[in-house]
Amino acid sequence: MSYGATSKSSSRPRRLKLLRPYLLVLPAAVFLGLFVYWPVVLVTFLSFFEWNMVSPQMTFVGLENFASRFADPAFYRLLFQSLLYIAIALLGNFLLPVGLAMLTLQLGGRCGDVYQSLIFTPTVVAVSVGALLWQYIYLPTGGLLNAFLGLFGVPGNNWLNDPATALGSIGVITAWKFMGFNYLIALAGLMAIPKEYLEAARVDGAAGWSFVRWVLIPLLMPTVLFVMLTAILQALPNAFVPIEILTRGGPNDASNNLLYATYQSAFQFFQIGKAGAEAVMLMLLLGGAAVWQFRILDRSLTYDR
Amino acid sequence: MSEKVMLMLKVSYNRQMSQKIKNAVIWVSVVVAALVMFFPIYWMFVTAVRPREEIFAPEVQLWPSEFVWSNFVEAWNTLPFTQWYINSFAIALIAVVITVFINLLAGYTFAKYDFPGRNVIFLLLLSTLMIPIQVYIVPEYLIVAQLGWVNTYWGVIFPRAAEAFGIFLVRQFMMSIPDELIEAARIDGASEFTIFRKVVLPLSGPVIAVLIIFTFMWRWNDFAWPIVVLQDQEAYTVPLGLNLMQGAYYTEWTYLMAMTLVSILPMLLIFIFFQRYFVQGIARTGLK
Repeated sequence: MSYGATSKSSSRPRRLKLLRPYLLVLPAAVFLGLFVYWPVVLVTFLSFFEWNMVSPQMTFVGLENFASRFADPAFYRLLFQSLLYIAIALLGNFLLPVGLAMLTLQLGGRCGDVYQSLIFTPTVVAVSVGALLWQYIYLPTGGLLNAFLGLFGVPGNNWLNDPATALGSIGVITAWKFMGFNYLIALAGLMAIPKEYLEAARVDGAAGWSFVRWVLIPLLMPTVLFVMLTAILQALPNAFVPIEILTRGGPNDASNNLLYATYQSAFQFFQIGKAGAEAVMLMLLLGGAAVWQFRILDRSLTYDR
Repeated sequence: MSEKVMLMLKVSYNRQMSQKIKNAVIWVSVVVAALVMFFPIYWMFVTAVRPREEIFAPEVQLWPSEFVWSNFVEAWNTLPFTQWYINSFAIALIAVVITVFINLLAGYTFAKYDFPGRNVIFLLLLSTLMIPIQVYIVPEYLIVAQLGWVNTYWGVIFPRAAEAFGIFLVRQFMMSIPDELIEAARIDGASEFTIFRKVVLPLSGPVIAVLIIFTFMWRWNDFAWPIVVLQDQEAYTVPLGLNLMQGAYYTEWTYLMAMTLVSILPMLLIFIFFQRYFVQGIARTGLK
């Protein structure tokens, strides 16, 4: 350090050395800044206005957009249905893949590879393609699902057009499409557990459910929480494309949720301020869920190690 | 009550029986899971290749009575698929080059340089993962429109040029490259760029493969953002085009399934050949 200061010519390389990490991160920061952070700032700004996206006139309305959301019974319905989507995601994209990973841990070698491929195939299929494929499966006449149920004498249904089943039918598509990813994460987490731990537990007589409950789950805690976090946070974004392609939130908003409604407010009804308020509330909800999850993750890690 | 159950279980005969039943249940659920996951893909294939008049047959036929390969040609010619495939490939390939480059630089820096604000910047970039694009899609669209990128490849590529997920992957991978290697090269007088090119990159094959595969997959499969920014049918990518085949009153399912099958072929091939990298890449995200 001291000899660097004596020579004048070294100050330029030194400054470069200090700046270099920032320069290397700059492209990523610029793109994420311009195309994520800046729009987030703008959407927050827009949430205080009334605007239809094309007219030059924007009216400042303060917190009116937020207040009107809270006063609207439809908003609470959307909130409830969002929670339903999250519940389905917890079942289909958290419990199912983690459980299946535990059951198939013993499948090794070639057999394991083939099995992983079968489970993972939907993950490489575009979610829009998955939606179209399931639309065909759900068809009231000629659809595979109704034909299959017919084998057992169960009457068919118009799954996507029935308010009672639309949300669940979309949920099944997202569970199918996004399960493989979480399955592989859980499997990788399980395989990373040192074999000696499992052997020791077996020798001590742990078996069946008690083995899962007291040995596998604690050792798997970081992975389990990670998968749970992604399942919760991705529930609404994952359902977005199937809803857009198949039901547009219908029939009668039966398959709608907060995220899709935000999109509708903007691109269908051109109520940019309302959409902005909904977007801000969604960000707060998702951010809150994430912080809460990270705290659990943090705590479980410090207690385990 | 559970004590009684425990006593019963202690009888070894019962134990064996219950073990057998348990194994059977486990096997059945494992097989059913695989069937449910894969059968829709199989169904897509069967529908695509069977005669068109067969799809509304009253009984479900699991195997086509004959293979009608001309379905694919006919379906291809119903809409401008050639243009859409050119668009999709161009967008995915250009995006791969740009995104892999940006993510490698950033990931390497976060893994191997110590600088003030490193953790804060990293967290700020990483937290973009939690915000779904639909939340800020209106201003995003306004920005892209302002830049004159509506209906262009750039409008799809640049907003997603840096992926926090990719940066995270690279950082996790490069943290496992020993600092001593880099230090040794530095003492030998290698420039920082030479170190990156000659020391770090050759060791990063697996993570580069993962990045390429995932970036290609994301761009190839994208729907939510392209549908907003690509408005002319000429500019559509394949997923947007496929959505057009879905009619309001009538859908030609044979053609639609044929074209969806073709659209997933590139990803299926990549997946079959590089399965190991998929598993690796995903494994690394779950682990710290």
